[in-house]
Amino acid sequence: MITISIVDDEKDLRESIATFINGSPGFRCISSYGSAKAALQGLPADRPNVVLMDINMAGMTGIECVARLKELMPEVQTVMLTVYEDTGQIFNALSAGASGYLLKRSKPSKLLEAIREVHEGGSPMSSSIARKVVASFQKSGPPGEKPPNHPHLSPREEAVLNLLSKGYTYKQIADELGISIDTIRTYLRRIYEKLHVQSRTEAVVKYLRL
Amino acid sequence: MGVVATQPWLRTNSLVPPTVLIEEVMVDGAPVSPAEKLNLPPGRHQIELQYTGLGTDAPERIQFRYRLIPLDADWVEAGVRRTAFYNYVPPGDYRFQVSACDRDGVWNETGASITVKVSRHFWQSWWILGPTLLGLMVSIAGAVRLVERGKLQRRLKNLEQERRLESERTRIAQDLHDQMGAKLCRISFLSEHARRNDRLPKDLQHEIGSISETSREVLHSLDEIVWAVDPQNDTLEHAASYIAQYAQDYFQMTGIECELSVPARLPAHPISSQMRHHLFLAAHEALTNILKHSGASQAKVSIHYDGSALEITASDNGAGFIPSTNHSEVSSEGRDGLRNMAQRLTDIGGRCRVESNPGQGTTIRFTVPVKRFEATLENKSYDNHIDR
Repeated sequence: MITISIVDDEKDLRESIATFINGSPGFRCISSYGSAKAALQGLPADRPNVVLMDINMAGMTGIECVARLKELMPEVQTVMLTVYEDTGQIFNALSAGASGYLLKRSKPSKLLEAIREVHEGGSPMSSSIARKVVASFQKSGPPGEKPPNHPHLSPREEAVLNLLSKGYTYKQIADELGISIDTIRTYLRRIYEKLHVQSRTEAVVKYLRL
Repeated sequence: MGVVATQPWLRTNSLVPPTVLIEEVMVDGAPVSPAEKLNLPPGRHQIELQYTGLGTDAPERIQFRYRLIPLDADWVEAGVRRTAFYNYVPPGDYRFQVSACDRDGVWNETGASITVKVSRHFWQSWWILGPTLLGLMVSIAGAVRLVERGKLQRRLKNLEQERRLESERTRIAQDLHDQMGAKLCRISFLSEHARRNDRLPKDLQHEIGSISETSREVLHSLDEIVWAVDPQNDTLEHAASYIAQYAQDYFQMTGIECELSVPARLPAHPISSQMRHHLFLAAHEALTNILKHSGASQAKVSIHYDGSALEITASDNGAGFIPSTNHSEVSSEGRDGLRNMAQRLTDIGGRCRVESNPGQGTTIRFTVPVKRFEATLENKSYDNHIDR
């Protein structure tokens, strides 16, 4: 049984998603919150496996909420929900610590797939997000100028990321690099972790410079 | 009865300089009666003055010099020549003076002289010329500035209007999306939940499934509209990345394997939302053709940018057809599609080419020029885009 909490400021939508999840075997929605603030207070006690978080909420956004939640509960997995396929926003959420994202217009069965995947340690990445990630690691500048402890991608991780950003599917990447799809998932997971570290060190550097 | 007294010693005294006479004045080749004063109308004139010297026993030895004051700064030594020639005398008041000396070098200090006046055209008068020139310059500068300022203001105004139009479009689209989006999501989730109820008859489950599906399609269309009008997306990278992702999603679960070929990074060159919109819809049309008409099992979408033009290629391994002007073997729906694509590309100054052969698949190629400078200025107007 995967336990889930929903954070979304649209009451009706929140309730319909909860209804849908609770009607799906193997999934249980244990709590839902209408604001980021309320979620940060309640979630540590709820201890869900996966949090579904709306990106665009009035007041504190889902992106900031994920960043704070990661501090409170490092082990929690978050799937961002968004109406817009806004790569910039999604990338920011992933950098803040989210493990995946889903468009609200996706088929509801996709939602269950995404929840299961992040719960099992997977980190799905679309080609448009991969492009953002590539750009983000490239713009950090030459090694000498990077802040200390700044993460580097291994050549293998870079290869996976590059193929993904060119639109290859997991299967095509697996064939091209002669590795299994599970290995690709592992690489992606590590890339996400490095992305989190990168955004954290960048945030610290930004803070120190102020 | 008078007495004539001659003074012959004076005549022989070589210390007496020769008398000088101005004999004839020619203006523009025509003689004018020599008077003390020569008045010339405005314009360019050639003046020729003939003079002579009298009173010595050796007139052939008389030397002359002359000057036109103030045109000549110094005497012009004419030697024995008895003509002074001026090709152009600017408007003004002058005095022509000619002097002579005999072989002993004694100059006739008085000489002979004539005043010359060359009139000005009315616009040559200083009191007109000065202010007129100044005025002219001021008005030219003013006119240039006005025109430039007018241009700049019009340009700024246009930009401002464009920006307002764009942010208004974005706002409307986003409002629509936010208001309807959440409700459509709700229909999607609730109907999907209802559909799973095992107690429902199969055909009802199927119908509820259609409701669910349709709500998501509407959501998708809304998303496309918002994407198309959001100025944030007006870059090459955004457009290419979106179209690539769209193609990937489009063929999911369709049985067609879609391969993408997109440069890992594209420059953030701005492109107009009009271009983006048409490119996307043309690409959408191409994908629809592959899915609905080609019968292909594989599709490939490539995006290429060479620094001046963007090329989007959609190819498949399907049935193919003979591309001709009337596309007679193509279904009417497919024909409309091809025409639409061509029209969209024409609208944005691009080209749509169709390469196909029966049994050999189809390749549709969109080429559109994208200039680096296209909207660096416009970019500034996006600074205060609506944050969503």
